[in-house]
Amino acid sequence: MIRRIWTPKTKIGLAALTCLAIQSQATAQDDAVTYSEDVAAIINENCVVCHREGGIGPMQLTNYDQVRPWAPLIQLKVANREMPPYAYDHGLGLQDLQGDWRLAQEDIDTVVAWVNQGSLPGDLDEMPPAPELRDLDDWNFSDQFGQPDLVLASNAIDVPANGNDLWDKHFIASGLDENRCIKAMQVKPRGDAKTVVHHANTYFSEVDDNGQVTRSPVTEYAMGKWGEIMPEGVCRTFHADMLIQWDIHLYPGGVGGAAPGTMIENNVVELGVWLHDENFDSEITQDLSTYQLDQGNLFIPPHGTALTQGFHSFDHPVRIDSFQPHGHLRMNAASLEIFYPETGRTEVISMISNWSATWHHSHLYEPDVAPLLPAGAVLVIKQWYDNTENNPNNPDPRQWVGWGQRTADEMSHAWIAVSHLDEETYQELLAERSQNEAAQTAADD
Amino acid sequence: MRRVSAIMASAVIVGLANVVLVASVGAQPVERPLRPSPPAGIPVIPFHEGWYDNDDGSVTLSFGYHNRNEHPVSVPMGEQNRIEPASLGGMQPEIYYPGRHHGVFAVIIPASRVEDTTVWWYLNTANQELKVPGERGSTAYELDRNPRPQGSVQPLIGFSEGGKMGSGPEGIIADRKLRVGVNEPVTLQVWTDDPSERDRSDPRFRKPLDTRVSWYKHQGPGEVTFAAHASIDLIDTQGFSVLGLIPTPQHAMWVSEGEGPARINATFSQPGDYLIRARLDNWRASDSDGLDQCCWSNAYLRVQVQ
Repeated sequence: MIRRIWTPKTKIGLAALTCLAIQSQATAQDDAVTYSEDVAAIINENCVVCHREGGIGPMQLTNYDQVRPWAPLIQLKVANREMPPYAYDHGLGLQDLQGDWRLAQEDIDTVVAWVNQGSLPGDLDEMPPAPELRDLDDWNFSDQFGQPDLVLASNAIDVPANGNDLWDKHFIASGLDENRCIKAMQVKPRGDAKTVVHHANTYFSEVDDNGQVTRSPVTEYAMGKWGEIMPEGVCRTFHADMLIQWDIHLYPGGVGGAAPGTMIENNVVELGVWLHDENFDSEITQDLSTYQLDQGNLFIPPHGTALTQGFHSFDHPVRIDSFQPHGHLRMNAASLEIFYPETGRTEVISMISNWSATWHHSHLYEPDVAPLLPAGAVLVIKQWYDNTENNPNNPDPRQWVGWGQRTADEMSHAWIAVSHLDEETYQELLAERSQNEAAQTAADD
Repeated sequence: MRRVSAIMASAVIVGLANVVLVASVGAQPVERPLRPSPPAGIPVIPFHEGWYDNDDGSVTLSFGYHNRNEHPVSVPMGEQNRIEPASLGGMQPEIYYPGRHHGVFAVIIPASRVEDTTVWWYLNTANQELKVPGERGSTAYELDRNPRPQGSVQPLIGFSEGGKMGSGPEGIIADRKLRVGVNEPVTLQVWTDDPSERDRSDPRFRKPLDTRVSWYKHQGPGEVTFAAHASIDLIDTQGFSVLGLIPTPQHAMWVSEGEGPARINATFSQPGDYLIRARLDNWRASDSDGLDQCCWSNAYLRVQVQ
């Protein structure tokens, strides 16, 4: 998320104060939280990207008249951290993330106070600057990297109004004639395809004479995902002269989309790839893989809950660059921990206790805090499932639920981007991090 | 610095990825102690796969199961293995093979009863009764018979060349019974045709795909022993399991290019009425993967053993 540049005066805790204190009229007037002075900037910078004409948000929030009727709902969603839709627990594990849409607590407090005080407009002639928004169909990383060097579009497919989920797995040419290192990638369903594409994965593929396919991931997309940025100094290779296989899971009728229950035609998904220069190379390689949590033994009883857990380790040092849990309608939480066998210590890296299948965020750790793991350290991944009536996404709590690719079934794995290190590089990165921390401490002092 | 190849890293990941734990809690009592599952004594889970709207207004419900034990579990039809309303039952299996088996049988709700009928399948194994409902309900469980994106459809299966064919989980049920003596081999035959139309320019589909027929005892009082027929070899399907979840059928054969007969010899240990299920899969097609709920068809052969 783009953090706002224009910072309004905030009034932390004002809601509580207004409930308790008797203030003079003049003081109350001075401290009043208003849309124009305090709230518009927060909404402009954090909400309007989706809540605008043609956006995926169900209502527009581009001016006071549009926002005011929704103020109580906005307050509820913001206070509960349901909006902006980036589920990731505060105060637990790594908090320095790229593409982090979460509101700062002071912004949440400001919105809450504004609604509690009556959602006052303020001086609507003195509004903060309108946000500079990308075109709805533009790429998420265009501000940073410009337009992609490579755009690979899937074949178009019609998705009917009703029926079973669809999996479209077809090949396209890669369009590259030499291997290149990837700078960033985004997968983007075009237009209404956003409402019917559950996931859209891409794979480097080879097909033998018997039609058998071998493949390795290019990148992964699931509903709501932002994209991937490779850390500095890392080469994730885009392989030339290989087929690219699209593996697109489509959901008839759409999920909460603009037109559920109707035929959605010509669905196309695009893969945008930003490449490093031809002469860029690095001895640190990165890959993206799925890490399984014993999906084959996932059984969620009717009206019941379940927990899956998986453990993974490496025989060489690694850096964990991103973490993206994957599940469907019953999954509601996930975590990543690291267990260090030499000390017996377990460290929480990420906790998502309000996970939703409609927003599959890949949590990109800032490179200077991304977990550096010695050989033998163990990733501990947990995912939780709720098949009760309390889960608002649950299509039928009376059903037994097990593993399956359908949206109605469940999955239990995580996509994790890992930079593979040798011992020398690992030690160098540790030393560099220590130096940076020491320098920061000195500067703070 | 030494570069660690992605391939090596992947191999390490695979090698270390097999230590996992699953725990579940629910209203239906399922004991899941914090130790590896025992090889036996675990209740079989009944699954409702989904529902199909039919042209005549009726609805087909597809059911399957998962047997987490290492050996088959037998449950005769009756109080311990029943469909309610009882008038719609009768096709549920009496033997449950290890692993996840989807679309094993179907229940058809007549058009006149679709709106107010919920079918419940009750299955009592390991002293626990588990149940699952099926109905024309949530669209998340809606299935269809339309071609998949790469052209796969439910293949056709019947009992003779040019004869009546069926498809899907309800498939086709033999009108007449084969009659055979106890321990007397009898040849079972189905005829198959896969009408799926695929893009021949796709490197996976340059040649028509073979389909697979696998054979299961479905109902009956005694043991059924299958053996290869002289005209068709059984195949080794090891390695085709998805996540170790979909069991490899013990008695299966390819049908070359998806069209032609499949035959197997069977002997029966006890007299009585038997139902044998032949399952026709085109699951090697990319859009017929395990548990995608397409594309397979069942044929049920009746055998009376005297």
